Formats: sequence, C-alpha cells, structure tokens
Amino acid sequence: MSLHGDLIELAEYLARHEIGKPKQATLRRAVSTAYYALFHLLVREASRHLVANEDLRSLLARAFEHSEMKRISRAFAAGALPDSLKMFEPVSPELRDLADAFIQLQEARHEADYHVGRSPFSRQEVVNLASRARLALESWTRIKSDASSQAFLTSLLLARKWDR
Amino acid sequence: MARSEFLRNVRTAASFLLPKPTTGNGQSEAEVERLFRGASIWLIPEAVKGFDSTALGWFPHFSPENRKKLERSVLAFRDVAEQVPVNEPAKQGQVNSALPPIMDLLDLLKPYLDDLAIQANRTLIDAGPWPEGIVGFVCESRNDSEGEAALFVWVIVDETVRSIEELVPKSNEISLRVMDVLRNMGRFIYVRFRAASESSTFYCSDEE
Repeated sequence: MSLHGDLIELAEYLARHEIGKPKQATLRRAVSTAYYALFHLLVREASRHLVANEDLRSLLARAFEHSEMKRISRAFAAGALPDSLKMFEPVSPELRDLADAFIQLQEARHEADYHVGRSPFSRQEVVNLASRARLALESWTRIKSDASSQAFLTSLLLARKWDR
Repeated sequence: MARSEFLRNVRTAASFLLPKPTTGNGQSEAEVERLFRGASIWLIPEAVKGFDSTALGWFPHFSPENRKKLERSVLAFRDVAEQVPVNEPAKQGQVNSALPPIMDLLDLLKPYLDDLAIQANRTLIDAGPWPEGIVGFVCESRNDSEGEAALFVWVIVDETVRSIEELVPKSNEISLRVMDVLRNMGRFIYVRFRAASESSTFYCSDEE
C-alpha cells in the first residue's frame, strides 16, 4: 500500500483502538498521522506532476514547506485564487473541501505536536479529523485530473515564486 | 493551576451562557432548551476548575466585596455542579440553582472573557436551526500556528448522534456553513467536532 494509505489506516486505528478513555499521546499521534497522510499524498502527486525522473522526485519532495502549502490552500479553500491563477477558477467544491481539510488538519497537527498545554483532544474530535483526511484522500482520485487540481498541486510548491 | 487556565475554563462555560438573548422578555423557549442541552458542558465542576484560595490574589484590583462575591459564586456553583451525576442530564432545579452564581461569576470576570468568541457564538446560534444533534458551539479567539488572527469553533454534538462518525458525511457541509456564517469576523476559522459526553476535554486539566 502507499505511504499515505498506510498513514490514514494508522491514524484511524490510533483514534479508535484504546478502550475507555484514550491516552492523549495516542490521540495526538493520530492527529499528526492523519495530517501526514494528506501531506504525503499531495507531495507525491505534486512531485509526479512536476518531474518525470523518479530520482529527482524524491529530491523535489523535500522542497515543500508546510506553511507555504497552507497559505496557498487558503486561496483554494476560499475559491478565490490569486491573479496568477485566476484562469483556473471556479474551483470545484471537492477541491475546496480538500484544501480546507489540509488547512484544518495542519493546524490540528500543530496543536497536537507542540501545544500540550491546551485543552486535551477528545476521541470523537480525532475520529472526525481522521475521517476528514480519509474523505480528502478519496476525493483526490476523483478530481486529480481537473485543471484546477493540477494548478493546486503546482502552486503548493511554486505559488510564492509567482507572487514576486 | 495558572490564572489563565482558570479563566479559560470559565470562558468555555460562558459559551453556553453568554450573551443573554436580546429579543423578547426573559429567556425564550429555545434559549432555555439550549441551556439544558448544553448543561453537560457548562454545569460541571470543571467550569470553575483552578479556583482556590490563591485565586483571589489573581484579581488584585477587585474590591474586598467583589473578591468575596467571586469566591461565593464559585463555591455555590461548584456545590450544584458536583451534585449532577456524570452520566445523567441536569435536572431543572439544578440548572435553576446553578445559573445565578455562574452568571454572577461571569459578570465579575467580564473584562477577562473572550468577547469575540461570545459574539461568534451568538452569531452561530442566531443563524440556526442547525442539524439535529448539534447542541451548541464553543468558540475561542486566538492566533493560529502561523500567527494569524483566528477563531476556533468546536461544534458540540449530543448523544442522540451515537457517534460523530455518523455526522461525518455532513461535517464538511456543517464546517462550510460555520465558516460562511462567521465570514465577516475577519478571522481564519477552524472548525472541529466534539461529543457533549466528552465535556471534560473542553477544560484545562492538570493531568497532562
């Protein structure tokens, strides 16, 4: 199975498997893992889209930045693309959902990994976040050929360059 | 427990109690129902967790009368909250007994409450009806991990929805609606879902 497929299964397992009150460590790992499932899917797809050579793809995959991916995802989630990408509007509802899922999961992952002092995660909250990631992964197979989806992939790496 | 944690707990409880409805005389039927349905969140001892004798020193500018009132309110509220069984809904008498002290408490702590979150909560409630199973919302304004002004919204689902998984097909739709309702607040919106039965997870805890 793919890395993102394994990760989402692991996230779902972590979210559900403990009987009774789950440990915060388990729930936090589930949140982080759900985010990385979507992150790795997008990085893999973007790398494949941008580079044919497989050796170069792995190098390219290391060039993606979480904050930059989140920044451009906001534009796609809102359906209001920057001027350089206006030709790809309108953004489909499924792509908007996926972009929003990426934003929501990245923020949750940040809290899960770094903000241990905040109120604890709940099981149902984490189950829902993992489900959100799962739905985003599944929707990708339906929309990945769309022009706006291709623009999304490309902009995850390059949008900041176009702002210059 | 730090003052910030005590205040954060009080702010969470305030999500179900403030602002008071502005229309009509007294509380509308819907408002009373909302108070009852949300009681598993606000009518629990965790709502004032962190308060102890040292807490009075956290508010040095309070007059001696207000310090006494703060302590009395917390103790009176806690007394009622501790009588509500964990796995049973609060009785009407318990809600009626808990409201005056918690409202006094919120009045005293008004300068420390999260006004934007309260405003967001009221905006969301007024935008109803929401799908069956949604008890209410807990909002919190703060910066996100990128340092951007954000509003975090937890949609609270009650026990009539056996699991949030049942709501998953609708949760994207509900998230989008929440974002749409709050679009004029000028903040990035983050939406999550929790079950009302997980009420203790809304409050700061010493366990972590």
